[in-house]
Amino acid sequence: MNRFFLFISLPLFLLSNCTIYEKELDNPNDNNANEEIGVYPPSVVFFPKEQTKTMSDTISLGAYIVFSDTSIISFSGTHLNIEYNNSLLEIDSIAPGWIGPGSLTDSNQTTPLFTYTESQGTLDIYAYYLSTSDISIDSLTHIAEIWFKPLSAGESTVQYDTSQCQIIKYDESIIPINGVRDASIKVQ
Amino acid sequence: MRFLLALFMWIALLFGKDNTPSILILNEYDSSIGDIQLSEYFPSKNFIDGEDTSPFLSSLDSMNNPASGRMPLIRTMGEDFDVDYVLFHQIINDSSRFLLEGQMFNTKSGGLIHRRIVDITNYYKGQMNELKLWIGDVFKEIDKDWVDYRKLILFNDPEDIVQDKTPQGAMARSFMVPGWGQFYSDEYNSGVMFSGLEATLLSTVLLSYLSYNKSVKGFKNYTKLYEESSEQIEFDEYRSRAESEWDKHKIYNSAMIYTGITAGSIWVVNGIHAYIVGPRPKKDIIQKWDITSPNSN
Repeated sequence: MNRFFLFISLPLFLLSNCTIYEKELDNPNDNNANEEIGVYPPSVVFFPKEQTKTMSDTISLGAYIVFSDTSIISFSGTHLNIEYNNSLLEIDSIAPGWIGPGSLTDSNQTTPLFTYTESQGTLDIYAYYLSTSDISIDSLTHIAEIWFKPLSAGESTVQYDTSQCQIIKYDESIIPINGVRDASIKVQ
Repeated sequence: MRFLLALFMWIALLFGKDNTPSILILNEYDSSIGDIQLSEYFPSKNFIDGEDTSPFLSSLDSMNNPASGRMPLIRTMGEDFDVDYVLFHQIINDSSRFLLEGQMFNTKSGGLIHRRIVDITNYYKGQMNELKLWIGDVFKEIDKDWVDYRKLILFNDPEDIVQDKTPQGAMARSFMVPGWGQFYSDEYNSGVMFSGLEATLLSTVLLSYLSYNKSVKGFKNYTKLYEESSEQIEFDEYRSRAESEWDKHKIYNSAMIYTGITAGSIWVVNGIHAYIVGPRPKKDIIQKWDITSPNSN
């Protein structure tokens, strides 16, 4: 009888381990993944989309603009209006997007003009591309890296207010923002 | 008149031809079955031992007409040995089987008048009895003791036979290990075929499962790296790899399922086949008691 169960259990074991997995590839910085969930470029996103930290941790969150892979928009500056729960989080520090592939730089790799204001759970970031020569922007642009300090435990959504966000061209005309993705921060 | 008739009959009995049939015995045994003295059991017959069995060794069934195929030979032997009948016996013994073929020829016509083939499994200490039964059957002189002795040794009803090997046993074995039942039934070719086929299919299932597992691990790993990467060059690369592994895991999954179904179906067919080709009691008559000395005759 034991042999019988062995012969029956072997194929059952194999079959039970043969599931087809869902192909859930979701990265906010990936325009392909965003388009699959209806977020079209140009879009303003946070990376990572969610994170869980403890009270002693520092929380790092990147603010990005995602263009399509084939975009030839001459993007030269932006204003991002970011909202967060200031009873749970406070801003520790902010830095401009780093130089390198996908960064907000010109062809000479100069640091953009970068300022920000913070008030009552709202953060306004202004970044301007200063080069007058031809610009080269790829599909993903890192605008800023924000470090938060947890104030108390809980879950906070960090989001863009797209009515106040702007992306401008070299000639200062506005590029419409078509998509937005929030970030979720859980403090334990 | 009555006196003359009685006198004539007495003279005829006294000087008439001897009615005792004479039989030339030709035995082709592959092993000794003991000292055969048939005249002890059939005293009214005149047995003459022959030696040259070679003309009888070719198969009777291969002739166009087995009954008349040896007519000239038998007539010649009848004249040479001055016998009424020729009785040819062929006995083949192996470790578990006893095969007796008896052929009775009439030397006047040269034709085959009686033939018997006895094929018995695990039959020892009964061969001599079987020979007596055959000759007794030819001359209608069967001793009741010989029949009783045969009944003592052999099962008359196949249903009563305690089978060493059964179709059910073959099927059970094949359901446990493909091909085992066929080997058990001495069907070696089909045994090799089923065991080989199942081994190949099950290896394919196992190989597909291992490849599937590897692809799943790869898919999960690359998905994690993809989700943790903020750089376009990196997440594009990880996405491509994750998608490739996902496609592979799907292919291996299908391969595993379809090969598994095929292997399972052939496994069932193998079990049914083992039952069909399994040993049947109606073919092999088996001795009642366990063999203790298979070499004894």
